[in-house]
Amino acid sequence: MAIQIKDLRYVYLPKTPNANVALDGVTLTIPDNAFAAFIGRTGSGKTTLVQHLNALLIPTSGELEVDEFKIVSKKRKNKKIKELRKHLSLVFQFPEYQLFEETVEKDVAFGLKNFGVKNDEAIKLAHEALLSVGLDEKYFQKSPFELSGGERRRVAIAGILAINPDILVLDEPTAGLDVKGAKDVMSLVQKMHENGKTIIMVTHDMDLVMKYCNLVYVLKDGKLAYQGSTDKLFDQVGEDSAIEIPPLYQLAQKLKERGAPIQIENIKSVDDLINQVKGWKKRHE
Amino acid sequence: MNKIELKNISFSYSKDETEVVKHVSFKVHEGSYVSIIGHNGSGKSTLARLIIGLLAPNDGEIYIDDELLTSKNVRKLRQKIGLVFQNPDNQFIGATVEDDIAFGLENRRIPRKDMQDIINNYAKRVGMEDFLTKEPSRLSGGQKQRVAIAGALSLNPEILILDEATSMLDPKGKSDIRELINEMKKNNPNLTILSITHDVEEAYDSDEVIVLNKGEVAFKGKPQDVFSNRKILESLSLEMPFIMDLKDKLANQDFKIDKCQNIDEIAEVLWPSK
Repeated sequence: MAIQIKDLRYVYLPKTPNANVALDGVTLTIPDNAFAAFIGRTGSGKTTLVQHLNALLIPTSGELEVDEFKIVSKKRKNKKIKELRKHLSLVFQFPEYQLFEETVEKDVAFGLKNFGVKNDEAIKLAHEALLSVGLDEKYFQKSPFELSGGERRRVAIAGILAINPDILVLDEPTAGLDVKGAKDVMSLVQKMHENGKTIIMVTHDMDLVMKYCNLVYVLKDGKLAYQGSTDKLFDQVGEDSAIEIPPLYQLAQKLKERGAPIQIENIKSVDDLINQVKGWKKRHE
Repeated sequence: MNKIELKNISFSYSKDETEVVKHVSFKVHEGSYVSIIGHNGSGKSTLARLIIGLLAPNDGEIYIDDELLTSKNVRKLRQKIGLVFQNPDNQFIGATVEDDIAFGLENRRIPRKDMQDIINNYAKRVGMEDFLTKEPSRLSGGQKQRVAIAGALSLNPEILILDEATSMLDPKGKSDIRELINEMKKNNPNLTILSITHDVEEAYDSDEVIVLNKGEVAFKGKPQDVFSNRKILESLSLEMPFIMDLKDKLANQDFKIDKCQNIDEIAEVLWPSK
């Protein structure tokens, strides 16, 4: 098990009139090499949860284990946080807003240098990371601010990849990107998964979840509403669900209610649905 | 009547750089809902900044209500426009949700006695009525954006410009805002809406779609026409809206779904109830 979370509770501004319970008794496990997604409506606690994974937030109560690292509530002191962050790295929402160096290569090397890597080595690793996100030598000396939104996002991801963590957490990696930009970022993430990394992402995009992820965790009002494989997700959630059901699955559910022989767990795209319904025409004639 | 008109607009951020907007001309009629779509870097956000006078074009003319936009009248003309930007963190001013909505109203000198009703009304419309006394920092991105939309709508603008306003919202937030826009249009048929987006589902609701590519108008027309050509969409890094994609693929399998408007009607064709 890569990650185990036990009875995690987190309260923003505790002991004030504005206290806000963001996570309320979440228990879950994420296995090694998972491609997992956290989904749920805005304000459901997804981002708060993933920010615990590298000890950016410390539990109000409960605890987390990330492989050999343990993150416990504030009363006890957490050790080895720096090592943890090298093992599990977090790409924030809109990470491109955090680029600040004068050149792309310096920006990617910045994190490495913070972990004590010497300058020459850091630049070398930065180049490798940039090449792996599809940005070649032309980009190394450019200012990050000359790049398009999609390119900037890839620079920001390269900054995390250069650290070579075993677990990569991405908070809304495709938000604000167009179709092509989103595809580029996701095929990059998929490649990292194939190379043996555990991937955890927060997203609102159900198409991405169905296409790339094998495990899904649904949060609702700070509690875990579903954990399991992506295949069964839309088969099991009902009308009053913690998530918005994409129209493709709404249609599949309506067909099932009508008694049609549809297998929702085998549907990942419009084409999958077409494949199942195309034989039905004969039935009507 | 034309609410917004662009005549041959060109713009580059500096002299030696290539133009990010090239010879763009279009008209937006009063009461219409127009979407400008295009991939990242197509020039659509620059275009929005030109229309509200945050940037001045190198070439060409912009008319708001048939009045030429200049540095002299930009403040006056901007009074007619409600604006919502992409990033909710960059547009919050008040210390609480209600203060934030009140900020615009105070600027317009709305009497205090009317203010609370207006605030309550618009907070309710965007589903934020339970958050009126909350601090912005405690809201999620989507919630902040709903407040920004409430703030813009509360001023009763003649033109509402949405610059990727829903791109950071979750699917429920997006569909709520889509419904809100449609409801606004019903209640106020004179409201002109210009939405800059790369969400084809959202653009599908509009009366007219303008597709930008490399700073130029690549297509314009009704959404049903603009989105019907798969090859062209792919070349522009855009997808076909779900319902059109589904209908297109079902039609290829000889299902008679021409007249279907929604998934209930499609379900009826695919598996008729007896």
